[in-house]
Amino acid sequence: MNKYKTPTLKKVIIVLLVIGFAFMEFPGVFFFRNVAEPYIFGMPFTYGYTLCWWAFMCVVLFIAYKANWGDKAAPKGKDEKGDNNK
Amino acid sequence: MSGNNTGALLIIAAFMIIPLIMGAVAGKKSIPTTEDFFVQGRGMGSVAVFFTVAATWWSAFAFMGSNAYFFKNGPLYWTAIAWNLLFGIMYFGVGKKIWYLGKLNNFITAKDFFVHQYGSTKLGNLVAIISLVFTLPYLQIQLTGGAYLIETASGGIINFKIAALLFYVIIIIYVWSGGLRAVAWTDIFYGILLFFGMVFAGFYIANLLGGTTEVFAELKEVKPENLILGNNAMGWLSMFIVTPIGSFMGPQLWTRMYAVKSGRLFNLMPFLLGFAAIAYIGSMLVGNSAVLLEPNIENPDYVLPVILFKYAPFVLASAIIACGAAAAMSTANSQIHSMSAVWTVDIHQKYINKDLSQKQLVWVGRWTILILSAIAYVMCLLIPGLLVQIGLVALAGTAQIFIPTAGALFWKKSNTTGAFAGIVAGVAALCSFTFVPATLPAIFAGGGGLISLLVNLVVFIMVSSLTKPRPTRLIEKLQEQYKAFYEGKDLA
Repeated sequence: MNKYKTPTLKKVIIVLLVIGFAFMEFPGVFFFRNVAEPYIFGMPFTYGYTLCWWAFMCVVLFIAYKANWGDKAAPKGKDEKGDNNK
Repeated sequence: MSGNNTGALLIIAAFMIIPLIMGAVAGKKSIPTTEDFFVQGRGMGSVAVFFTVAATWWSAFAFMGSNAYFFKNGPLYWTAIAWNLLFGIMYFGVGKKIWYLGKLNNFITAKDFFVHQYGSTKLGNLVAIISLVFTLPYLQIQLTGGAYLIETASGGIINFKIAALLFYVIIIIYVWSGGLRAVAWTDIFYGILLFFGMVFAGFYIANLLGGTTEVFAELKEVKPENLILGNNAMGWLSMFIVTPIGSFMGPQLWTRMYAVKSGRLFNLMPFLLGFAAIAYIGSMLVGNSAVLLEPNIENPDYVLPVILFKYAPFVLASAIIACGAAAAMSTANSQIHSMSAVWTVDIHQKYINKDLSQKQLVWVGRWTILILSAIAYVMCLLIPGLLVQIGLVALAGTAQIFIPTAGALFWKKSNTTGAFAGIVAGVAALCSFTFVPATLPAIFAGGGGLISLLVNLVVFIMVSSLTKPRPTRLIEKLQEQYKAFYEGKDLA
């Protein structure tokens, strides 16, 4: 239903997230399913490898938040005043 | 009664009394309208939103079931790290639009959204029924998990039946008095307990064996198959997709989209929820350490309490176990509350008594909370089952709602016939794979939930493409609202 142009920054964020998920989910299934070594952070490969991508995704998501996900403005709710939303 | 038992009972008493106090305070702020009781007047602030979403999303399934999975299946449950991120991203990408439309059109339940988007009450009713039918077993596993934990934490002084009863009496009292506000406030308390309980338990147990590195070095000698994913690939992918989608589509999460005060909060939630996933490191350490410490545990769901009570000081073990009960309680309270909304707004108000005042509807909601709790209590006593197994089927059921939800938001050609046919086909496939496992081809073993979701998707696209689209007037009306959303227009 969205016929409005997606901002370039948002497209970049989406691509980075898709890459992150793809690397978190598929190599483990197709290439490393029987691999325990090398150990990463003292953990078997699957654990350490996934954690590295988790860190990457967290950084991307934090940048996305700071950049308002590439959008100009976020809609505000009823009666919302400034940023005092605690 | 020993000093240890007294200490444990004091911890359980605090665990019960603090939410009651919070509920009483929340009750004083309530006003007797359905909008206030069910969606907190759409004014929920950032701290409450994060904790209530996180604590509702992390259930007994996460606290106890995860340990069991790491114990039994090695890294399979580690896909939870990715599904937490996916959940957060959906909360932003889909949830924010639902929030906006909800505020604009005063939605309270998922049915309201479907009636508005597709112009079909029948489709809305189907969604309401699926919400109720598949949330009830998920509620039951919270009760089972929570009651077992309270029984264990008390050293057996409070037996399972009484623990389950206590568990629900507490929830009923504070939800009755404060509605969603009380649920959200208590979830702040539960969420903190849950996060730190999971992490602390993991590191405490792993340190008994010398630390993380030592746990895995020893595991390599004792049970090397626990270090690899092995043949669990289908389960890995299925859980990654079905678990967050199913949970996201539960009625309790719809409530948590409608209730949010500010749209900006949705932008931050993917980071917060994704970051919080690190707590699974605790479950991972408990499950793997348990393979070394207690390899012959009969029921893997009880790995955490068995290990803690054997290897940690009794009062400390009770405190951590109370955190587990918090996980169960924070999900159960939200489920009972949102199921009550579904019954009250979608069914009672529409088909049983249309002329009730707002105050009377709130009372219907309260009595519904009581009745649903009683049903779940009886189910908990009668139906045994592994937390994760029941949970996965229940989540795969609510996940079926996701296809028409995304269709409504992102695909103009989607229509009622396609949505209806897709849901029916998906649920039928799920029932078939669950009750007659032989109907699921061996290559997809462990992925019944994912395959049923794909069946739903294919049928939805095919039927929507071949049948009449939604009326032009409806589409135009919706387009106006989507345009306002994408242009960042504030709600008047």
